[in-house]
Amino acid sequence: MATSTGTTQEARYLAAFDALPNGRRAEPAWLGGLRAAAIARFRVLGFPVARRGNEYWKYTDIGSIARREFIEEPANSAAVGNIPKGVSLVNLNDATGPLIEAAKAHLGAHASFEAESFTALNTALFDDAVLIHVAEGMNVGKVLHIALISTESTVAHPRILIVAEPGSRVSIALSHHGAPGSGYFTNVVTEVAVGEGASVSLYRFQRERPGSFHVATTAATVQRDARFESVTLDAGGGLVRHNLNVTLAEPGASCQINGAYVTDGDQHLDNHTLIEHASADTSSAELYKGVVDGRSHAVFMGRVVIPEDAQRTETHQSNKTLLLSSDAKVSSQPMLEIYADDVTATHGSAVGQMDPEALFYFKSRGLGEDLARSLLVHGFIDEVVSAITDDDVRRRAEDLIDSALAYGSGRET
Amino acid sequence: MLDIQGLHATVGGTEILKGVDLRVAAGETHAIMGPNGSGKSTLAYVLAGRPGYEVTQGTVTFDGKDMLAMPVEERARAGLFLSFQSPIEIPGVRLDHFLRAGYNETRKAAGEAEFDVLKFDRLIKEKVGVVNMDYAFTKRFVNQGFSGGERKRNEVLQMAVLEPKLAILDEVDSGLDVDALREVAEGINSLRSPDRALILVTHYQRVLSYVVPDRVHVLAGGRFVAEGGKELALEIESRGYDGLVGGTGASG
Repeated sequence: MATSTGTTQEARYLAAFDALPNGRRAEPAWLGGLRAAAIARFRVLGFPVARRGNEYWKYTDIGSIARREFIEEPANSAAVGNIPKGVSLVNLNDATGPLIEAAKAHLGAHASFEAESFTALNTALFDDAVLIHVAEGMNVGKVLHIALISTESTVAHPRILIVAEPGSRVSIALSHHGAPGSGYFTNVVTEVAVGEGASVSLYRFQRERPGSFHVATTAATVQRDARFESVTLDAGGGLVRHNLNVTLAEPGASCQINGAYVTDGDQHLDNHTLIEHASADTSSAELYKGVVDGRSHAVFMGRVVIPEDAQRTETHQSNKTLLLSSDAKVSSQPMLEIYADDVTATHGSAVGQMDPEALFYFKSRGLGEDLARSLLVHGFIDEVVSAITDDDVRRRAEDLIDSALAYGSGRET
Repeated sequence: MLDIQGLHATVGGTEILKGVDLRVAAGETHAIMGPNGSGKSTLAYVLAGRPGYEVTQGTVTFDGKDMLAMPVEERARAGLFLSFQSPIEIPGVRLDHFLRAGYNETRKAAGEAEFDVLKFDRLIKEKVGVVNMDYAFTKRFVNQGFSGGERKRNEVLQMAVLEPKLAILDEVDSGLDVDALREVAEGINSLRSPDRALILVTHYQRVLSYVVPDRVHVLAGGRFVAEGGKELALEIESRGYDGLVGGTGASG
């Protein structure tokens, strides 16, 4: 990774950190220490550079983010609707008692900034964090919605911490939007602690403005017999990178991570997933599907690590892309690192074009070109969307994908 | 209704149809028989407008209109229907959604009001009975996980819904056991009417015992080599194509 020597790109952020008032808002000492360590790490790491040898960033050049001058702004988030019983949804600055203890135990414990520049920056600079705490054994019947809204030319570092205590169940939808205008940068980090026997479903709706920059890091740690589900829906933004890291920490831990994406125009979307089977008797499944049009570039890198002692593990991964334009580009790379011998593993990556047979079949029943294509494209991506069990979330996901596909086909501007 | 004159067509640069003439009037049922590679399916695909099937000579007039000038979907909306020999599966698209889209496009083209979901659901519930198909199949993805026989029932269901003027049924009996064949054939027979013409494309006589044709044409080597009444099909069954046409078309 490049160091920051001789560049002013990192200096802007280092200066922003130095300009913060000392002991900002009477933060506890542990948080101040975490921030200091993070900015020190960023000083060493600098921004990542897309070049040979840097596998992790080789398809995504974030130079346009690093070079640009943004206005620092506190993250703008809003919880939508009432908060059900057994759930605490507070800003970190307002947290007290057991909530501050939970924050202290988990903040920074799941999303490591050791090798992640953007996580280091977020940790150093986030203005306030959203803390969602679900009490032990609590089954939260309804989906919690958190909306994150950015404004023109700003940079924001939203930070979200979800702590699901043992035996609890919760579903959370995070949606990313932008106010009219573009050229803003969202650098969001979401940490998820899934306690023993708990279940967390996290839905990410990414509908950033065209031309905006979006780097997201989602890190989940899944304890014994617990389950983590993630559905990532990317339907906006200019340059988008999402790192999703899941650690299956104890026996019985499992995850299902799905993604659907629609890219067009000059969009660049990079989904990096990492599943670490840190224990025996864990299982993971992953399905990402994308529709790629225009001159856009969609990247999928799916890394799965199964160390020697992680026996009796199961992992399934699939990435399928429908490529609708000869100017668009798809980079898809499964990376399975398996050192244990008792493992069931499958992976597949396929890039296809619109099936002329299917198109002919539909037209032979009277459907015009546009309608036939639209049905087929929706049908392709449906596998991810229809798997969403919550009716309301699924409808919202359908709407999001519909709007992105309509935008792509030029019916809407 | 359909008038084919001097039709030549190539697939991938190879000439498959070498001068086909056929006239089909409303209310008639024609059978086109022929050995493998004779051009039967090519003729069906050329009429439906499948990409890659290039007409090099000849004319096709459908209801007085130059059919070869019409794109695939316009032919369908004008009342042409092709029952596919091997209908493909389309994951993610529900049969009823797909069929309602085709139905409404056809109605729109005719200046008729579209059917909403409820109205179309009533229609499809009535039509599944025609081919004795399980209504639940209409909520499934198009042909996904359907057996060969279920796919054929689905094709005839689509025909029943779209009510074409001319239906071309390509090997409609393949993959069907005797009971299924009888049910599908009953469905097809129930769709015969004085306004509607059928063309059955088939290798074997079997289906013609159930859907009895008015005329039988034998295609070999890209041309019709024999024509007759329904008894011609039985003659083929007993003597084989070689016996009938002297082996001209049994190659390729």
